[in-house]
Amino acid sequence: MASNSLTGHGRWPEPTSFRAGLSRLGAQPAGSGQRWIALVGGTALGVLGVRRAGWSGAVLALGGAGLFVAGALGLRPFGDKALRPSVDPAAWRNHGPATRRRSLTPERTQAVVTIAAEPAVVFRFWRNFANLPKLMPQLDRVDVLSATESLWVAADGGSGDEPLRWRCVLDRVDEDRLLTWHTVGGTALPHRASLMLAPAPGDRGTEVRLTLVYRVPATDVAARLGVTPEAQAQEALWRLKQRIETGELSTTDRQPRGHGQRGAGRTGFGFGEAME
Amino acid sequence: MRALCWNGTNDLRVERVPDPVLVNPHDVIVKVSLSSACGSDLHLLDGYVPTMRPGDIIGHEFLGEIVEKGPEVRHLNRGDRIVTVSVIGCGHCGHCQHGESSLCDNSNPNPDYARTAYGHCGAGIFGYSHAFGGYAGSHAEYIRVPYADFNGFRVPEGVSDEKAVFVSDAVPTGYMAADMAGIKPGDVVAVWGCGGVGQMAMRSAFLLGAERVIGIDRIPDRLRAAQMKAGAETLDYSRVDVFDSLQAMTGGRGPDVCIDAVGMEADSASNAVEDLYDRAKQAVGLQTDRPAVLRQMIESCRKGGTLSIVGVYGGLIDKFPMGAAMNKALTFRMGQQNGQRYAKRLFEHIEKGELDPSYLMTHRWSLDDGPQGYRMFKDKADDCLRVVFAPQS
Repeated sequence: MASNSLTGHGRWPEPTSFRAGLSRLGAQPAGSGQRWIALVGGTALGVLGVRRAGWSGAVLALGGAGLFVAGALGLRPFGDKALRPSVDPAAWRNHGPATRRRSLTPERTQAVVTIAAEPAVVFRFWRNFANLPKLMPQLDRVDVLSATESLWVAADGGSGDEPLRWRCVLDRVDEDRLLTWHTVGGTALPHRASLMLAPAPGDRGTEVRLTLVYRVPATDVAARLGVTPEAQAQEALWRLKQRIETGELSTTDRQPRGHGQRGAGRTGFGFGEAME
Repeated sequence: MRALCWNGTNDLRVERVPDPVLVNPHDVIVKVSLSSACGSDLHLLDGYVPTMRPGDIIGHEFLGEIVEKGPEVRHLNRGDRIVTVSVIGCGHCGHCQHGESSLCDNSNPNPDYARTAYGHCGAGIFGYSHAFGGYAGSHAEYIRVPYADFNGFRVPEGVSDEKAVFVSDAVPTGYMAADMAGIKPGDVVAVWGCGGVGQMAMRSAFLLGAERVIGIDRIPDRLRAAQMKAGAETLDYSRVDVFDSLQAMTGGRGPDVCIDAVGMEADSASNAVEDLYDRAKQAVGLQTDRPAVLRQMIESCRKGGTLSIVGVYGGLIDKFPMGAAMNKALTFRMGQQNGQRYAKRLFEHIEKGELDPSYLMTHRWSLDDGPQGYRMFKDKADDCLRVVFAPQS
């Protein structure tokens, strides 16, 4: 790299994960709008104050200067609530409230990915439902009961309650192209799903489309599985791609890191070399 | 082991941390011999990269010896002296297979950051924030290297550590800048930024057939090195008008190729108003990057010329002269480096004596001196081009 930087403080999305898909919807950067208003407003008040004679002018000038300094230092002169959203590099991709509503209560969620492998390889991996816990960490296991039936057991979320279970049956099996299944019997999360495969143009492998249709709101799914349907579908395909293309999942688990204690009052590199 | 950790803005500390372990079957553990500071690290130190977390180990340009390897590593062995490309590829996705490993689909375990900001996620990078995967960096005695067969390159015998270490990042970044610009014999190439990457871009431009190369900077020792070591003519932008000078030097045409080896913290010493404007907008969050170099390149480049950008931009810029770019029919090429594509070719150039990046290593220090080393590097003191740490000393 020749140089690199992302953005200023607070303008990137909060660290989200697939499991925290819901929190992303509510994430709202704050701060720079206030700073901008404080800087401009402070300057305006200051100029007004200097041009006005007497005590009122002095008060205005002092107030303006204070506001300007608060803005320049990044303080929050208007409290913690953002007056307006700040610049967000991703803002241009927001498509308005309709999209957000859809993803909050997705009757139908779809994720797509291109995998550098033949459709048959992808199909074989998914067709064996016992593989699915490798793609969906919210599952503990899937027991294949027969050629068409399977029992899905959710991972214990640590609550100590009996884990959620549901039975699924296959509807359609179109070799290397389509797989559809749905829940049967009583379950808290009735749903149906499909996996569609198509050769990608330009010899780029296989386009994989996973569709989940829950008959309960996304918030119920998130409450019971710890993940929204949208995040569940995205993560499953992300893991599927990694498993098939590389045979492993990229990770930084178990890697070393420092103690992460901020050096209060430290002001320069030279103060920080103490060994621990 | 000891490692240089980021703990906050301008707060680096050498700490004792656990040794890395093999996690995935394609991993190796490398005992780090040399690990270079890079200009891009300064943005981490300055707090411009918000996805850093206290305790992160920094450093991404390194060389060392394999001491452990995973069961699926086929082409490398314990004891191999390897250089590792700083931008991590998986080697299997469509991008890696087509020589675009910096766009790897799989190597970034934290894809949400980049997906949210950019629409898609690129590759992971060692020691370069959690937006780029959160991988532990190389300013440490040991480092875990994922997908080792793809990212690690055996250093040919006869090539010294000092020459080889920069094949990790500075050399392929500079080479890629020249390569993707499509330089043809007789071309005049202007390079903004005479740091390590800029100087490697200059050498590479000559290797690819450029007739003249012009380096632009304001730091005297860097301009001198660009002249003496990279063979470039130079312009000090704090003393001359860059546009006028470039036109005068090219018969009024402008350079055929303009390379940006500066990125988002560009200043504009020749235009105080523009500089103040950019800094003010950046300070209040109305733009995230300062595009002074981009504007100057668009204005200066010859009609129908090519802009090649390896200086990195993170977010949004303002007052981008799209009209000039469109009406001059300019071509834009850009990206993080795809070192895996170039490493073997670069070692061949080094073995033939056509390229010697070792002079970038103006200082070789112990890892214990990491914080002071970065201060010197940041201040560009003592004619420092690159400070390189030797964690085993």
